[in-house]
Amino acid sequence: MLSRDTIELVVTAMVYIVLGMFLGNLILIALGMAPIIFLSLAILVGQPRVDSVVRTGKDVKINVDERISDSLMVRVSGGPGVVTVCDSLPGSFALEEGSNFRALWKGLKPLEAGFSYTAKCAKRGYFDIREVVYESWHPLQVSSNILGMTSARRTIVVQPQPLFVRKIKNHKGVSRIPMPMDARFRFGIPTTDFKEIRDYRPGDYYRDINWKASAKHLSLNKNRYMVNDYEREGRKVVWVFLDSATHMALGTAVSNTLEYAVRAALGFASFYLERDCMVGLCIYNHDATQWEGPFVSQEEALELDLPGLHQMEEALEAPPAPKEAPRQRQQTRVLYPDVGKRQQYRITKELIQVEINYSTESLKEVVHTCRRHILGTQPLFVVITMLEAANIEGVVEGVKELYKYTGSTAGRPSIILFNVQGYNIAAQSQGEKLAARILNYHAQPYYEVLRRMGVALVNWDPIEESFANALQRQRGVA
Amino acid sequence: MKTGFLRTIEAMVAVASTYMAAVTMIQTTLYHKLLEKLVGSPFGPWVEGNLSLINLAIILALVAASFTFWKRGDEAGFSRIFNLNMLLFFPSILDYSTFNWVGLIFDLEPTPGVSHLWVFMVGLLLQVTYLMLRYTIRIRHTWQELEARGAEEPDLENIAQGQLGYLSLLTCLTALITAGVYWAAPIIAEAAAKPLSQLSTPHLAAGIAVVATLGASLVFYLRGEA
Repeated sequence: MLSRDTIELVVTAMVYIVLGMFLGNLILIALGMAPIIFLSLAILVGQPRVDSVVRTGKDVKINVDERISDSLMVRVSGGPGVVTVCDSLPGSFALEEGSNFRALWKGLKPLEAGFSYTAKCAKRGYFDIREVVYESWHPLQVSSNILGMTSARRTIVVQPQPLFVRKIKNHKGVSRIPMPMDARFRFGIPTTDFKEIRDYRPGDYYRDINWKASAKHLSLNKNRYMVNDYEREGRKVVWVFLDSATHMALGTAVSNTLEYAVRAALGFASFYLERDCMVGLCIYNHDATQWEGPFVSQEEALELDLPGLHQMEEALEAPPAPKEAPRQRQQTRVLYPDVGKRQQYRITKELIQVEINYSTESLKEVVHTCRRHILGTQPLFVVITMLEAANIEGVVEGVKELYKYTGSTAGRPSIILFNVQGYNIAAQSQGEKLAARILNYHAQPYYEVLRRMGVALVNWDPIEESFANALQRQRGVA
Repeated sequence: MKTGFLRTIEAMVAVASTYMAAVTMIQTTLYHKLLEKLVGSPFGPWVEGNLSLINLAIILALVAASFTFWKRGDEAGFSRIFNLNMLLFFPSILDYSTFNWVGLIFDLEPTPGVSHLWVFMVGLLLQVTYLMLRYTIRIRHTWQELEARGAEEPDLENIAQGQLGYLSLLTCLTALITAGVYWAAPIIAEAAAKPLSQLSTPHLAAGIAVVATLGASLVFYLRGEA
């Protein structure tokens, strides 16, 4: 299609010809032919045509902050003109070398040209790069540009880098952080692994009585036998709960609270899976606390027989309230506990896809969803979130729900609340850093509330300290 | 090649066309008539004594105006150059018109100082200038747009060179074909006069042929688009 400004050329030509006819002037009529001849030649010669775009890069799996290289070869035929080719990259890819955009001049001969680039993948995710956008321009833009897209597929899986916590492994100090030695099955056949010496309870085997300890105990006028207790058969269970609410987006697109939380989740999962624990993963959404509760029974309205009620004026009928759309609860993001590399792969795959509002269930709801898998075990719960003074209620409700399914018989459940301090991630200037500290300080009383509930609260400032340091900081007296 | 090269070409073309149009203008009947009026005025003796100086001053002033418009470098400036050139060129067109309306009004007998071929060649130069200036702006815009989109400097230079070469080739071909049309028109008219005179209504036949050609062109164009 002709571009708009070529119409001006036609109009100019027409003015010349009409004026030439009016004056009876052959020179003007002949000159009026010039723009039309110019346009006709330009259109007849045509503009370039992109035949193919070939990508040399193959599918690849890399870690966050690693680099990928790619090169593309373009074949162009048709008339002369300008061709631009652009390999569309995801927003989180930062170009380091070369360019993913190339502008080419196509002369009279067919053209074959290439370009290459290196990009840094700054964010985890599953990226399907396939669109190569090209644009063919007429040399003088007499006709409209031809926009096109060709598919040159390449899949890039950018995995989050787990935050390894090997330093904790050999630490001899006593830690307040409940490690999975506290998370065990209550059922199952006892193994030969000694666990502890405890008071005798009805039903215990006589052969398990530790006579030496009992004698010592009885000599102190404590009228109880002591028995040896052994580990039960079964794996220790760890549940990792990851928050995907909107407040986790605090920071930049590449470096935000959620990114650090995902890395922490992967760090916890790797740590416990390496120690033969069964690890489960639940993604929840703190924002869902506002509309949670479909499983809570609706209380019926009271029907009271009030005398004289019939004497009251009839109430005007209010227009029917618009029905609220039923809440979508399909987005249950739960990986039930399992062991081994397969579970590690599943968790990594799930964490690659996590984004803001990935789940639509609150912590309380997600615990309710998993309740059948929690009952009968005394697992370790790791809740990774960003604690804010305004949003503490949802966390408290979630913790209460955890108590509901684990706390009645076996004492308090082991809960680590891993608080990723998002304000510190977002703060750039000194003033912002000061504001972040004030906001964190403002949340201190709420930390105490959670600690009083028996939660081991770990505050982590990802900018200032490493993941391992944050965990080690929790050392203290048992 | 930077865009400075393009600007230099623009300046050369703009100044050359204005100069040629001005030189042609001072040799037209209308200009001479105006000078005659001026000679009849109280300044007459002075004008008569410095005629060549006045002509030179007018040419230089017009070239300077053209240069000023070029310096703006935008479409409005180039449009003014085109308008100025056409204004200067118009009196010479009148000298070679069958229906010289201005001449009839002011009772002018055409006595041009230049030949019709000269007038045509100057007109062709003006058209070439118009096309060149119009599309060198496009080339500069293309440069800026691609630069903003992250194109490399060597690629930009290559593209600008290619575009300029293409524009030069196209304007040269256009000038040649237009000149051919002007040269061939009297021959075609003479050849067509005899067969057309045998028709009872020759202008009607010619009209039908032209309309049919236009219609066919339109159909071919639309088909090509589809």
